[in-house]
Amino acid sequence: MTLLSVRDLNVTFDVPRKGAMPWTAPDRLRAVKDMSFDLAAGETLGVVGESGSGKSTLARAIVGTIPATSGVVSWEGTDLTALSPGERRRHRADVQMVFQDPLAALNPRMTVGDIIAEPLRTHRDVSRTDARNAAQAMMERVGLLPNLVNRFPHEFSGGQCQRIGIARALILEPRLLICDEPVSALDVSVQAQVVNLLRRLSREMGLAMIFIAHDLSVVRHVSDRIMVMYLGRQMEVGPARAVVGDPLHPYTQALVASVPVPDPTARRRDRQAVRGELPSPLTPPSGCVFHTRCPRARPDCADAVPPALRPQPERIVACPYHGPAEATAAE
Amino acid sequence: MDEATTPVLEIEDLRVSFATGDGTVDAVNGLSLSLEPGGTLAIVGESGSGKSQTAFAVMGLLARNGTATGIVRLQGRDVLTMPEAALNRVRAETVAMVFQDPMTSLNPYMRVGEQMAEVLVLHEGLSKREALARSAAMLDAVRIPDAKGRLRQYPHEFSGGMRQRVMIAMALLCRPALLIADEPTTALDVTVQAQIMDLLADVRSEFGTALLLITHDMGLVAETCERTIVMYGGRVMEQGRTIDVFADPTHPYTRGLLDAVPRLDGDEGELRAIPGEPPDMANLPHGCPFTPRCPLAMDRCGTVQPPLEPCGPLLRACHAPPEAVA
Amino acid sequence: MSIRQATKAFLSPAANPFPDGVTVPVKGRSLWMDARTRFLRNKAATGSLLVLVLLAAFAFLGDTISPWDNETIDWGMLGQVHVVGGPSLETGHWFGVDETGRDLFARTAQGTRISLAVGFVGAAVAVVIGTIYGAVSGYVGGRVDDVMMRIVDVLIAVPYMFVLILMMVVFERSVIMLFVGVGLISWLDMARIVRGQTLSLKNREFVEAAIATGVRSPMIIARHIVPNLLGIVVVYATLLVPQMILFESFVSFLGLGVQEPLTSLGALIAQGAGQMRNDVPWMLGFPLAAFVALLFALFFVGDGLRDALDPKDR
Repeated sequence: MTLLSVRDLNVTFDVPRKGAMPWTAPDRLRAVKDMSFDLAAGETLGVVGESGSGKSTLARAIVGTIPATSGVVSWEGTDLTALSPGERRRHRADVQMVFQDPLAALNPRMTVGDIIAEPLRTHRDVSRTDARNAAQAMMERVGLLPNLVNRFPHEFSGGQCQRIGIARALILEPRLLICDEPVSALDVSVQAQVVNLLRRLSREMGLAMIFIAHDLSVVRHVSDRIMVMYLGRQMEVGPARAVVGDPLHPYTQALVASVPVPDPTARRRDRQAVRGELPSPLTPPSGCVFHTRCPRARPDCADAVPPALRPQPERIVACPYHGPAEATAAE
Repeated sequence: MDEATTPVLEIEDLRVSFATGDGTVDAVNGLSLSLEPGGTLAIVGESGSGKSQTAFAVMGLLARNGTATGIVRLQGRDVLTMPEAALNRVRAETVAMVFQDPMTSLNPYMRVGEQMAEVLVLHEGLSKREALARSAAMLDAVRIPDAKGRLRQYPHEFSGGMRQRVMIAMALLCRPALLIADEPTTALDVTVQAQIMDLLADVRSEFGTALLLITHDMGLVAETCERTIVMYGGRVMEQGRTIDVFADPTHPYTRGLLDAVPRLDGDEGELRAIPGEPPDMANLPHGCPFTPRCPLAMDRCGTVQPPLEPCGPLLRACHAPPEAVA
Repeated sequence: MSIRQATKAFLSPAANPFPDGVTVPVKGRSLWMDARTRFLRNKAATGSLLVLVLLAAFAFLGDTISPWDNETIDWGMLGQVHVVGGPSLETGHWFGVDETGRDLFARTAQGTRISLAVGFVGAAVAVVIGTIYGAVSGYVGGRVDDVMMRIVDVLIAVPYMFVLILMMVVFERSVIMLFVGVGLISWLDMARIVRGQTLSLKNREFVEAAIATGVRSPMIIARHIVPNLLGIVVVYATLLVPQMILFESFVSFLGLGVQEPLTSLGALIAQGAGQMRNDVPWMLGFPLAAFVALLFALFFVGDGLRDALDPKDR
């Protein structure tokens, strides 16, 4: 059953030109371009991309804190982008978000109990005591001692703060949880705790998740499907195992090859490094946006935007010259 | 000892502590290491492990409330007891550091060329013209295209990866025997990280520079360094050749860390997390700092710090029998 | 037992690492309590706070313990003030008398009271109006922000001293008028500072989290923005008090402030300064000492508060 369906979503920011007159048209930054995907209830979609790939903007456009410029975000058939602010607010209980910086996402002047209970007191008519009890139950569920309910965020470690953020996001029992780089600010040992917690909770609560990260190896451990983004465009979508094990798009292959492997015996593999760095999103390359760095680029890549191909069932690759990684290495 | 065999960096029983409002915090407790010319060594650890403070102590860059004791020798000369002026010279000649955020160590109001040339004029007494020529050559060596033109640009005109290249070029200007890289790629994207790590490997073999890599990333350690020191809560947990550390760790923390790293190969699904929270540096246990999180912890672990002792090819600090860590 | 089995056992619910009785909530340590600890550790600030309390006690209780009030003329002193009007325990004029024979202790106490009142009224207006104005302007943003801030810009550009003097001349010179004048100008800078802080707070993730949750804007301002502004507001308000006192003193020094028989520190200092050549140093000395002590204490307290509430310690 499709829970969330995104069709041709575009998010564009106006960037004022430096030193321009107030009335000249601003530059347009296309942070998310022509994005389409579906998410089933209970499914976890991993979104991977480097900085500037538009993955956080995509998350905020779905949550609704950043307006979509065009396109449809439909929630069980209702187009959220067409709703009035009041109607939209009621829908917010269904979609909650977990943020990157665990401490910054918590109001330093509020107790943990008040922070976790805030969504409940916003959307449901509950008494203070009931809200507090619910918050304590939630704390226990995410692995925090419920007697710490009166403590303040700065008294917790990064990993614990992220658990508080997760408790706040889940107290309304949403159906979709959007995690924006939830573990990238955490130490490796704690990162694994949080990843496991999210996995467990999504299974227990039947939650759908959109798990955003720059680290493909983390995403792989939580996701059913993985979507790879580059400069606001979809490069590849497919089942997690296939995307990581047999990446088809040259960019996905570059990502996979760039992740360092914690095994000294496998060292100094001949990695298929991509050239250069991310072009400015203000002036993206023509045609396929990846062609400036792509090891497989051909002259016509600069001409036309590549169509979304379906070389295998369940897989979408935006590259006409896609193929297994070995083929790229051989070229 | 002749020049060729003197270690570029030798540390014996280094201790770093900070005086804070809530008492003394011990950031590093008895670290010893030796790095031969051209060698590579990684200090790996999570936040609060003391890995960065070790680097700062070597560079003499500790915060004002910090003190370092023990012996730190750069090419055989003890730097901790050296007067400031002599220390500056030794430092400039033998060691250079690359930081996580290149923007903080570049002056935003000076052209990159001027900043690089300044170093050479100051330390090697070159003329401005010679210095600029050498700077251009060095930018070329770190594969920055159009090096001459780039010299005239300001730091903000470089992308993140390019800035880190500039930092590496600056660090190598005086041909240091030792390069300390403190989380050099943490702020960069993975594809750029791969480029920078490749570059570091190349310039190392080109200039014969020894590398001390400070990182939290086990993957980078495995790919770059011959030897590894694993730190936790200011103490060395395990130390030895990287191959041995990764193949057969003898310390429960190393084991846990290796298990917790998400990998692209191996099985999907549940990660093996280390339970508990990172160490609270102001309230460390008397014994081993890993005790509260250690699955093999015994009574004496919390009270008696295990000594760093040989165990097979490795050095480790743990009371538990090595067979238990498998 | 291998380490993996050991880890599993360690993590299993049976091996509950938490002792019994963990359901009793532990009291948290809020940032305010942290700040209080830091403030109390600052000796200059706590000392100044004590001085401030003593000055306030002097200002509000001085009249009642003094045998003289602030307007009765001691006729016995008149004409020979510089000889017998000095500070003395016997005459009951502990600070001496002014040139018309009125008790200086009572007058200084009353003047300090006015100065304190002016300072705190100014600060209070600034805190209430400035905070709300700035927080709304910064949080709503866009065109509303533009309009609200241009209004502040225009008001700041008005030469307020000029306007206040005109007001004093046109309307009656009174304490109320002084309060109105002080209130009109005091909140402008506060509004700007608060707006700047709000702009940076607005981009913090916890505000975004509240928006994503569906919390309404007024609630976000009240619950998430304002409490996080209070630190800087308190600091700025404490530094605003002496500024307002100085402002009032200046107006009074020009002879436009409060009206006789009421007085203020500025007016007393002006009078004392005028009598310097008559060999009556106490007339300047006592009001000036109270004034200087008041300002120093306020500055040190403000400084201590700033250190204690410094956001970088968060």
